[in-house]
Amino acid sequence: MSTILRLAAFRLGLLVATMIQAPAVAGVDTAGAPALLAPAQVPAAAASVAAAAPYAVVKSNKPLTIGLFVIIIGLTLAIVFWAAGRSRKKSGFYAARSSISGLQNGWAIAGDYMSAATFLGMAGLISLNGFDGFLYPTGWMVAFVTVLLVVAEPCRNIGKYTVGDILSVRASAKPVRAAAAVVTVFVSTFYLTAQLVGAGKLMELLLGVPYSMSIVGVAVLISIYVVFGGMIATTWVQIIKAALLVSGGALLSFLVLLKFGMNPLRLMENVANNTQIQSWVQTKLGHVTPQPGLDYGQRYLEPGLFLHGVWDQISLGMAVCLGAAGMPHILMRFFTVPDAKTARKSVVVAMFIIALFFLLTTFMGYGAATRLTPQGIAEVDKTGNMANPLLARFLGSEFHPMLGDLLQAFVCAVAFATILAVVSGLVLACSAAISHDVYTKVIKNGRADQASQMRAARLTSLVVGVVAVIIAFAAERQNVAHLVALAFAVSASGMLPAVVLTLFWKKMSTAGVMAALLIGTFSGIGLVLVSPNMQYPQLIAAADQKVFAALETKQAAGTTLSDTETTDLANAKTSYAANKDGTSIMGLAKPLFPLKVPAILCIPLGFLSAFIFSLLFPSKREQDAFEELYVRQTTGIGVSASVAH
Amino acid sequence: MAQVDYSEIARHPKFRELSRKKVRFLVGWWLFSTIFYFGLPIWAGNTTLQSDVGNMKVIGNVPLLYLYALAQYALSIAIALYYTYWANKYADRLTEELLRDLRTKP
Repeated sequence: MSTILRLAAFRLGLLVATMIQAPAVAGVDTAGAPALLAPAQVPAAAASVAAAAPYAVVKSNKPLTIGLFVIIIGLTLAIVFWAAGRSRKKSGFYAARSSISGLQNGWAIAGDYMSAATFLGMAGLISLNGFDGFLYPTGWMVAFVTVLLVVAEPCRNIGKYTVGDILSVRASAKPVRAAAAVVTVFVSTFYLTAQLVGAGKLMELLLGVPYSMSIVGVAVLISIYVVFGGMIATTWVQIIKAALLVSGGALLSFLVLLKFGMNPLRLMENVANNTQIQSWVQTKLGHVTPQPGLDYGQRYLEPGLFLHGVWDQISLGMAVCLGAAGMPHILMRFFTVPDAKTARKSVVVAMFIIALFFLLTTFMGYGAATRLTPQGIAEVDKTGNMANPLLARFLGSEFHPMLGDLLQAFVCAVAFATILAVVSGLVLACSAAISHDVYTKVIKNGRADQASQMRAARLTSLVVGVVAVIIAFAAERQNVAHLVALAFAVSASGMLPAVVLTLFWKKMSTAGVMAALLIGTFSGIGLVLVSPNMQYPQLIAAADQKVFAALETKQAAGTTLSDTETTDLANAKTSYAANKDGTSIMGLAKPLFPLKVPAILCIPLGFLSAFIFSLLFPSKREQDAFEELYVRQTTGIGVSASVAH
Repeated sequence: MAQVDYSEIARHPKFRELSRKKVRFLVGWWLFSTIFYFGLPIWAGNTTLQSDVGNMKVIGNVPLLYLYALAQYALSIAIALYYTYWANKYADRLTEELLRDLRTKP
């Protein structure tokens, strides 16, 4: 009975959950997030069209899941206390005393990069959209070529604790540091909030822990990690979580492929021949009757089910391909290694792990599609985020019901560990930006002693945690898609041009850095606010109107409606009435900017404003200083321990 | 080396060789991988009909475009490995030689 009630409550909360959970679970490190949210624009009625999946029990085995959560938390806390003794100094706190090895840092970068988005969101996206879903991880993979070739080694050679260190090498230190800190906090806090909201929703749905309690719990844990453990603890939490994630993915993929003789081609064949998938694709394409000659199963392996048109594709491609290289918490990871060579090695290690995991994601996604059917997955959560937990239960139950429970609990625990780890990295990046750039360098003119700097660092970690909790409370019933989309717009169009041009362009000046950070950042935010990522009630109403118009025509023609159709009709009418006069947060009836991802406009704008302002307000001193910066970033002289003695 | 004279290093023939080689390698491969990557969204965005070339089945049910997406993984990893090899062989060696020259400088 309680299960049924919970399922009912779950459905009621579906719209809310879709909006809130998607960005957090499905795309915090990713430009894909805003696009993932697109299903939220679908009229409420569409959900019930899907066939009910009998195995779609959302609730997990509580004692088992909690037990696994406790083990993971205990393990990570043990690391924190071990690390606490090693991070008393500032270099230990922020950069792990540059003592992390290439292999360790590679795992940690992979951990920072693969949020719950990749584990839950990607599998879901692929299971619902086939090939278009696969385009997301592909872009994120390629993004690492830019990280490897363009930013990793120069960052190691120039920076110490924060992105502000890199930007202020030749530009006027104070304004640039302050702006970099603001942008870092912006990016990270939006990420952070979305992760927290996601964690809260995950715990609420799977364990029945109230949202507010989960949020506070997660925030307290993360504050402990960061305040006591600093970068050393955060690094180890990332490493463990990445290892858990990869083993979880490998296990699920193995179980999926087992059914198909370990042959991915047979899995694909099965996907194309699955009648449920065929009818899913037909519905998605809006074909009422099957078009002759069209192979709907095969269509699932072809593009265009999710991203429509070439500009949407390219804009998303730009964001995913360039965004990673501007993420403060990723850039910060390069300060933890001793030299450029290790930085390079760590990116290569990370690329192997990420490539492996992303390819496994496709097995999970297609496995979920053929075993659970897209309809069944969408029934539980329209964004597909629950595909992996459901798949785990389904595959485990084939051996023994208890194993299904255990496997699902494991998958949930991995997702939870992922959120903990990613949030710790983000809190640390914020804390470094505020206490190192703003407190030490701007307010104290670089004259703060070690102890007061550490106090500031720990205090800011705590403050960032508390602020994120407050925002997460406020955001519970908000569509936080825009928060995540903001983070991406900010990183790719503000941070990236500022960092890359500082490192490689002689004429870059303070004005250019400020212009890139501020114009790039705020144009990105502005475009997101007027883009289709926001909720446009009138568009939802229009879609609802279509649904009930079609059903009413059918009714008028004398056909008796089925039960689900009657429900759909009622739902569409209610939804229509609620939405027909609404406007988005910006007071718009429909988006001003047509694309889901604004990257195609705001990234060039960020670079262009950097160019224009640098040329308008050149600085002789800064141009002269380029030689030094260029020598340092190329050779590591001045930072690397191998030099100067 | 109490005070590093950066403009002197910048004029050092070894540094100029290092810088030239690095720029050529990094810019070249970055452009290549980026162009290769943007081929994917452009091609995918223009592939609409089941009869289009991108949707041609190549191995079992796997279409050509799908193989192109998989090739992105292969290329990224290949670039990573080649860069590691190249950097160990040229860039790191040149850097070390440069640093040695600077240290032994009278």
